[in-house]
Amino acid sequence: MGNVKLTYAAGDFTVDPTGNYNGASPVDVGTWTNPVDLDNSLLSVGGSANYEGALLTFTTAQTFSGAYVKVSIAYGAGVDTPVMELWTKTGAVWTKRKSITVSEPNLGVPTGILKVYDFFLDAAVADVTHLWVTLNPVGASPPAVAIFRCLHPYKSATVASYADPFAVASGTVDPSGRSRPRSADPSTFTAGMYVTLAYSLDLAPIRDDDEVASALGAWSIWDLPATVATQIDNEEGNDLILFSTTNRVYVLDWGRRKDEWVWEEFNPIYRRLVLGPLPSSPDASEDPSLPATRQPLERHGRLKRFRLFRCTTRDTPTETTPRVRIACEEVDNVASRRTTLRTNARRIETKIAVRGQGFLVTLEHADDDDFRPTFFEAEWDDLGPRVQDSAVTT
Amino acid sequence: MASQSFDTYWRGMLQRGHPRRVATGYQREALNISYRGGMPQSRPGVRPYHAGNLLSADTFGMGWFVTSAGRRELLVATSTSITRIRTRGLDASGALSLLSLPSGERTRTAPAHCYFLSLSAGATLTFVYDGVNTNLKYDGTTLTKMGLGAGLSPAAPTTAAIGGFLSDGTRQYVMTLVSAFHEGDPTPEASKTEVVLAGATETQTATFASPSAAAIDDPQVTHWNLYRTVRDGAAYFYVDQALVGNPITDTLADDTLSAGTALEEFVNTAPPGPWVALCEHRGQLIGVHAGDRNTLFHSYFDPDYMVPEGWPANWTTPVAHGDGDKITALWSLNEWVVIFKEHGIWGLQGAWPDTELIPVVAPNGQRLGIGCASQSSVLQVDNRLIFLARDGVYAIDRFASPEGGLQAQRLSGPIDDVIAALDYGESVSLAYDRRHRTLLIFAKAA
Repeated sequence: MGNVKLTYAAGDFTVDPTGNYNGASPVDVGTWTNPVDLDNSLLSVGGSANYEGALLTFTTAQTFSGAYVKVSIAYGAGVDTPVMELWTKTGAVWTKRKSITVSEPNLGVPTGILKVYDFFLDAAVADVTHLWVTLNPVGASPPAVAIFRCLHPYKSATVASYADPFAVASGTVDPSGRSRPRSADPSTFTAGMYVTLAYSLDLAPIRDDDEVASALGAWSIWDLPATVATQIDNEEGNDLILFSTTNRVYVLDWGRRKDEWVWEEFNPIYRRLVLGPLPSSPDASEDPSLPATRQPLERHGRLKRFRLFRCTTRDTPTETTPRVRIACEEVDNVASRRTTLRTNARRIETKIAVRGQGFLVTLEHADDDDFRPTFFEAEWDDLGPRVQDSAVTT
Repeated sequence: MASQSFDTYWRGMLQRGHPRRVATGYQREALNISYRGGMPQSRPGVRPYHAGNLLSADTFGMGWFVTSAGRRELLVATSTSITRIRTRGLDASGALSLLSLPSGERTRTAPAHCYFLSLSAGATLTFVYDGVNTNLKYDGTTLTKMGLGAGLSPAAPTTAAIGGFLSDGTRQYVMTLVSAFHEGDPTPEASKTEVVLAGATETQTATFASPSAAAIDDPQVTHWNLYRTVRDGAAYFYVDQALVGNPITDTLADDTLSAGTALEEFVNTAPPGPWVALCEHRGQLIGVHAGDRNTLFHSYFDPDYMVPEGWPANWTTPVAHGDGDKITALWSLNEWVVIFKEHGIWGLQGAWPDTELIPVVAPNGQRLGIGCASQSSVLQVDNRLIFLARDGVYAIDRFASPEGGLQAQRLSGPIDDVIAALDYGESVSLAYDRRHRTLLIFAKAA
């Protein structure tokens, strides 16, 4: 599912300021002076309030997926440990969903400096009626909100602008699409195109492929247009990997299935898997019930008709109109390609008729779900031996 | 009707000239796919690390400064400046001031790449180098020059007959410049100041005026130290230290002086040139500068502390000098420094001057005839170095034999055609996500 921003201007919620932090029981202290302030851009430098917290009441219950908050906290360094907290209310129960210690060396920020707090949740929460983002003013000074600049809540929903995820220009930083590959086939790369090689280790439970020097990892291509990159341990001890594109710096987030090249603009990730050639290897295609001369691989030279492709995926799609595009073509014969757009489901089966000796099947996917095919099967008819080349046939 | 099914571990992409009959599990293409656990899934999404287009220009390098409190600060090199981004999601703090550099070094040339090296111990510093401009260091607040110039010639002193314990005679004076992290080399011998006292008392003094900040022309210099010889002596000893702008009065008797701290000469010299490659190894820095791409320079080494800004002029190790190749990267790996040239790789074992050079070999025992393009083409992953060479991605590790040594193994066989399509020297950075067991090589197509 996509993330759709809720705004005060659209009437998605009302807002009240809260004070005197009291966990699990926010008490509003009046009316937010200028509620439209909460819709300010994250880059905005104007419009602000200094309320300790914002209590949002959704017009209708939402499947809440997260929020961006931009605030500045004034606190005594080394004395106070203020915490920014996000709470949701479902039914009559308030639940704290996420908190960030403002004075923490890495996730936090020095006193008096504006920071965008990332309050996106690992999983969306259904039936949320209220949202409370507040400072927990831990410390004797006490800490206080100096500027509450904006609050952007998101619901989990189908993104309306989800037109054609398979279009060439979709989701690219460079609108022309030329800076990022649309295929992992190097013959499609153009000079200057940014290509990221990914090498995954530990493919199987056996230890043979655990080590990077085992040379048993799996290669793939990512379309990240990175000019330089760096990494460091993040606050949880994991590797925080940053890369730069022109004059911006991005972070890789394994918890997201969409790209956010610009704040709050979510673009689908275009995934493409090409399976084959089919038939490919003995252990994948031998039929023990047939004699050796009739094994599929022994029939490479025979003409076939591809008939059917089926696969299963691990995840149940959550989009309203989940789609996967499936194409089949004869190896080294792009002109023979036949394509079908299917509704994505855990079990996909499609009939595609293509004639040839061997086949490639292409799967394309760009929803805000993961795409984890676990099994596939291809079927074809054996049409018989090719007519031997002769003076007549050539 | 025939069929083929697949229901086991996926092995990733096979992009090379190959027969139709291939091992099971390979795919022809995999774009934006990660194979965690042997199963395809989406690559991770990206999100901004800072708000807006706040960097002044395109980036040429990124690195880290970690404060003594553990706060990570991202340093980003743009064309002619260094920008600090303090924490995730926070607005960039803007380009760091270059006003703490010597006046003639504040205008910088846009480099091809810029690299960062954070010290693991000793002073909390990150060095910034690009092979073109003055080497920099960042201490969390200020960007200054790496290393200090030699002391100036002490001005002729004002002497007095009483107030101290100096007697008649000829003595030599030199000075050093001192920053918060380092003391530079003394005044060159040719510029020493000779002082002849003839007051005919045993209680004479000599007062030296401080060199001016303008004459020093390095804003990081906060203090100056005065050294002198005993009467008719040649060895220098510490007299006193003062803030820049404050004078030093020498009152010490020769006996008292010679019982004090002797001057260490030739060990605190500034770096010989803009570093092209730099690494920290066993308490020393080892670097290669743009003026000599086949010689390693070793920083001064003291058993008790690092001297990362002191580079003795003769602490050098030639690496196949004159072979027509040039050093491109240096990395520390266990007891080795791995020296990458464009067309060869060497391992350096030991500490200067007791070092030994051996070539890195392929599994067949032959010397590896390939290297890498730059410092950012290499990454340490676990106990191995991974690097992108002209013909593929390699891993270097120790081979298990009594005599030891370093060997390299090629990892990228399944994607030979992709490697061949890359611009080997352009825009390459590596990263490794340990939790997700994924190596990333950010590259550009040729």
